[in-house]
Amino acid sequence: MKRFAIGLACAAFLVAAAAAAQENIATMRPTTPLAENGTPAPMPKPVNSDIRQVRNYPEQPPLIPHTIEGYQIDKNSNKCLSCHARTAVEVSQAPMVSITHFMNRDNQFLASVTPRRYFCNQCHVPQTDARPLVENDFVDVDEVLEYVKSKEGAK
Amino acid sequence: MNATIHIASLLVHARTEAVSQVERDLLAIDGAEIAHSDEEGRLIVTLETANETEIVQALTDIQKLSGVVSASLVYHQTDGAPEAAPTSLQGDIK
Amino acid sequence: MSGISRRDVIKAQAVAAAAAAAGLPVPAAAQNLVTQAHLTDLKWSKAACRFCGTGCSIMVATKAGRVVATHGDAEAEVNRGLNCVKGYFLSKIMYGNDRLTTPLLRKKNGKFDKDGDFEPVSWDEAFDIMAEKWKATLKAKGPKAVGMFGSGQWTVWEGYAASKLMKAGFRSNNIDPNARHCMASAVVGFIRAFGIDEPMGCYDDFENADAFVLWGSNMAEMHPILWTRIADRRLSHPHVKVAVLSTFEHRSFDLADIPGVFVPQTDMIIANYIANHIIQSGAVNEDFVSSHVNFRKGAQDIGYGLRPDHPLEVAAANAGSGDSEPMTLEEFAEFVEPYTLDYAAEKSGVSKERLQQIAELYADPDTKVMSLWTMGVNQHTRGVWMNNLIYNIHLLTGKIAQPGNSPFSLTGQPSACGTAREVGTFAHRLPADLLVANPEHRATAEKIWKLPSGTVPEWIGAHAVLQNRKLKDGEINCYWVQVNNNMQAAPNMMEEGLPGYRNPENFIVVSDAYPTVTAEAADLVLPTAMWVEKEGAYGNAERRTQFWHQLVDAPEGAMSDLWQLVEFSKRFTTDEVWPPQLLADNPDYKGKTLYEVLFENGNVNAFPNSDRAEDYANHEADDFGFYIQKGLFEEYAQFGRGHGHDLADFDTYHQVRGLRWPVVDGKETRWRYNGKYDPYVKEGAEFDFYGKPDGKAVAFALPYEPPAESPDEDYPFWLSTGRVLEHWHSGSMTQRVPELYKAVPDALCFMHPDDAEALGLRRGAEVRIKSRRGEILTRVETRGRNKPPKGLVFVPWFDARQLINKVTLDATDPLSKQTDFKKCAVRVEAV
Repeated sequence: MKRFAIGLACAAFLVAAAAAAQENIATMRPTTPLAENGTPAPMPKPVNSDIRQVRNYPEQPPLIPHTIEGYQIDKNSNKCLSCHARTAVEVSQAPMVSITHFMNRDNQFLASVTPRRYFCNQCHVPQTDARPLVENDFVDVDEVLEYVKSKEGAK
Repeated sequence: MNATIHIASLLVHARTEAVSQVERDLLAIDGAEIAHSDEEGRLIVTLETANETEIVQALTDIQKLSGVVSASLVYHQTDGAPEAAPTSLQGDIK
Repeated sequence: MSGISRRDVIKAQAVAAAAAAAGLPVPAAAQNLVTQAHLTDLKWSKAACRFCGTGCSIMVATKAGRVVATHGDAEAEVNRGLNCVKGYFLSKIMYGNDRLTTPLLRKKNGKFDKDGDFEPVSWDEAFDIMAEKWKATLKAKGPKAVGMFGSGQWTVWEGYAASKLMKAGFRSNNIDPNARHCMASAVVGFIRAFGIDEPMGCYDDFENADAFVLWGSNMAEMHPILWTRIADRRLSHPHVKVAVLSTFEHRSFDLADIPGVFVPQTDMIIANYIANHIIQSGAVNEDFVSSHVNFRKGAQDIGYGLRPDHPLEVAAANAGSGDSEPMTLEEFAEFVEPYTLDYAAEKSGVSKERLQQIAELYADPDTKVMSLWTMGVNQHTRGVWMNNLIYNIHLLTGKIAQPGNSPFSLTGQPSACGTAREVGTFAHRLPADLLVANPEHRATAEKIWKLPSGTVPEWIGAHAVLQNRKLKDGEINCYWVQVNNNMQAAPNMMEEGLPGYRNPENFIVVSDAYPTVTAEAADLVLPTAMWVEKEGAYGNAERRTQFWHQLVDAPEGAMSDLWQLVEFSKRFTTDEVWPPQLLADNPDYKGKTLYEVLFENGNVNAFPNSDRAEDYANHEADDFGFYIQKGLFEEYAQFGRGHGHDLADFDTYHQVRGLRWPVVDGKETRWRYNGKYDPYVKEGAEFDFYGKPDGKAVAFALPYEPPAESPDEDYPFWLSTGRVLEHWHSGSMTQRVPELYKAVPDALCFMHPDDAEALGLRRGAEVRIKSRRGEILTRVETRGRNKPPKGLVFVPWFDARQLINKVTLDATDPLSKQTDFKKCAVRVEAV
């Protein structure tokens, strides 16, 4: 198992090797020396494609594939529910909020979305077109399973 | 694989003397399987359904079964619809 | 993968989740469900969230040595299955592809050079140069010239081991955590008012309160899961009221029944007005006050924690004084009398109607009120006073230490309570609220640690801001930073932080999982294991201690902070670092390594590896040959057991979803000082503030005093800094999760549209934010989630490319030494 983890990390080793003898190591501040100030990136544009993204794992809250600029979500009104509520989806054809969102703190089902899940953007966030400065080597469980299978096949 | 399925797991507490009756009643519910059952009356039930409503319905039915003390939903996921639909108009709504 | 196996995986996960929720092993029967159960089985284990002080419990799925999924723990009282967006992405924080896997040392021509570039070196070479520098410095200048900066993100035993290595090993109290930037004012507030640190109440107060008052806190973004509990309470119970006080409008205002945007620093006036209102309207709970409250008048004009030669310090009559003298309730009433409704409204800018509504929440005996605060109150040049002023209100009305009646100091970091405060990693503290300046307390520590009398020094070490000043002045020359990004986090980077790290006299070591800004400013960088790559424990804001096992291996080459600390201790003998007299008086300790006297002392190595859980790895225990985490914890727990800080035994915490101390006879304590709930309350008493000798809490008469710096003609804007929901602190973990990065990639300058227009700025325009100390370049946001009033701008500090702490002022609360990151004067210029 350990070897597997190392195998996946080899890309990182290459990066580290290439990084030998350097001054600017802070990846999140790739070009500007600490004492200076670089030109800030232009404001990124919100992603508004409506194309849903694959989740990294089933428990991940889906990202919002559209802009939510100007959406009102306060104690009087929740704009998200005007499309994603149980009764709204026939008209909107948007995905209904998961039924886990109908459960209260004591796991009992309520008639409507539980208040503890009321502020959607505590878990669901929209995306911009900004390009990440660092890649992430998280491996999807499907790939991990393929790996386990391939190891078994090799036996 | 365009058909959407909903997979859920429930934790069911039954009265210890009623476990076998509860098991029989559970198995009569469409899409329900029992993953675990013990002498303390704890059961783990999985549900495989075509939509959310059926899960809620099944849970309500289970909560009403005689011998069941409580039943709660632990996990719910949908699968089967193309995850990257071209627009949100083709979602995992039946 | 085929649809079938994917479905099986989901089903197996569904079953495993239910099993985990019920505390059952993954049932064998579950394996009949799936065709290839041995393949699809995931191992689910609990852990505490890596981010804020809420302390959510997380279920972590591992497979083949990788974390493959995480979700909120349905069994946990704190979060009952929920996470915020950061928590839901915990699975990815360890997998940024720039993880450090080898030490990096600045070198030129094959050897260390402060002006050299970073080159990979072995752990041996890293520790060699480090030990050489430490020994040379200790020999030349003594223990006051070495220092360490740690964190409320250390696990409990890491903070404990660090504190022991510094205070007993190197005999230097120059160790402080970044909790100094975060919770120090809360700590001093607690000690002054109650004699014991940390809240009397707990999160159960959320379901019991009728009203919530946020003092300068934005819980919707900073404590999202606790906010779900407030939202649940407010939206399910129409009588419940939420008041939100802040210097600018933010997401928490979306739930506010009584919103209030106040002029910076006038929270002190509002708090004194409320106390005055309570007294004037006859709402004082006289029974409670006469039995349980003393009144004291605090020293005034106490300065701003700046360098002693700063004009503001020279001008202060009682710089740094926490003195106070007794007074009566009548004298207290007279003291707050000038804080009338008219005066408070005029100074704060909050309408009279709203101020009165908030005051009435407190004054009405039938309304149970929870007050909540974090950085708005703590990062304040009168932060300790503000904590005291809030306690005053609860003490006057007796609304304290009962379900729903709760002044609740929220915590910023996951173990600011569990590690920084309870373990006592502050420059003046020892475990369980003991103090280095108290000879009896030092003796207690030396006895538990089995060390000679006189080992622990009596002098108070340098606190966070003072450490940076001493680095700049060349007084601290060897400096080790663990689990935090202080170059990005500390105030006044250009005048104090960066010059200190780059001072040619100094050798700076930074341990981190990723190459941060602080790492870049260092001379030696140590690659570090993080979160579930090691066995750990955190303590959250409600006194809940939570454990987790090592769930995956760290990348080859990365080592935990604990391993680094203990391994480093092997490089020193007592003869090299202790004074000859101490060894002459205690010859048994001669010639021993610090490792032997600190960690092979019969306590820390008391538990064999056979005590470990069979199905979890433990790299440190394997390496040292004993269950070191258990040994450290059990030694540490000796400090608090029987003294109001009782912890359960080590093994219990691996079974439960945390317990709130004091844990007495296996039972946790939800409301301290209350006879119904707290076993430490004296027999028959309804309330007992037993941290004070006479069992009475203290209300302090403290006036409004102005901030260290206010806007003027040259620098016409207030600057407030802070966090955003999607990023944790400096972003070193969350900025490496693509989904979180893409949600909020850059810091922005939030400002009022009218201010932008007056400066000819459109949304997105590049601007320079400049103070008397430094400047950054950023862009203007006029439509974002934060809506400042005219005259104030807000810039978050998570962005390494826009280091807003180049601009901030290193003024601190003179008592707590905590920086005020919320107030300084800046100008905003078009670029």
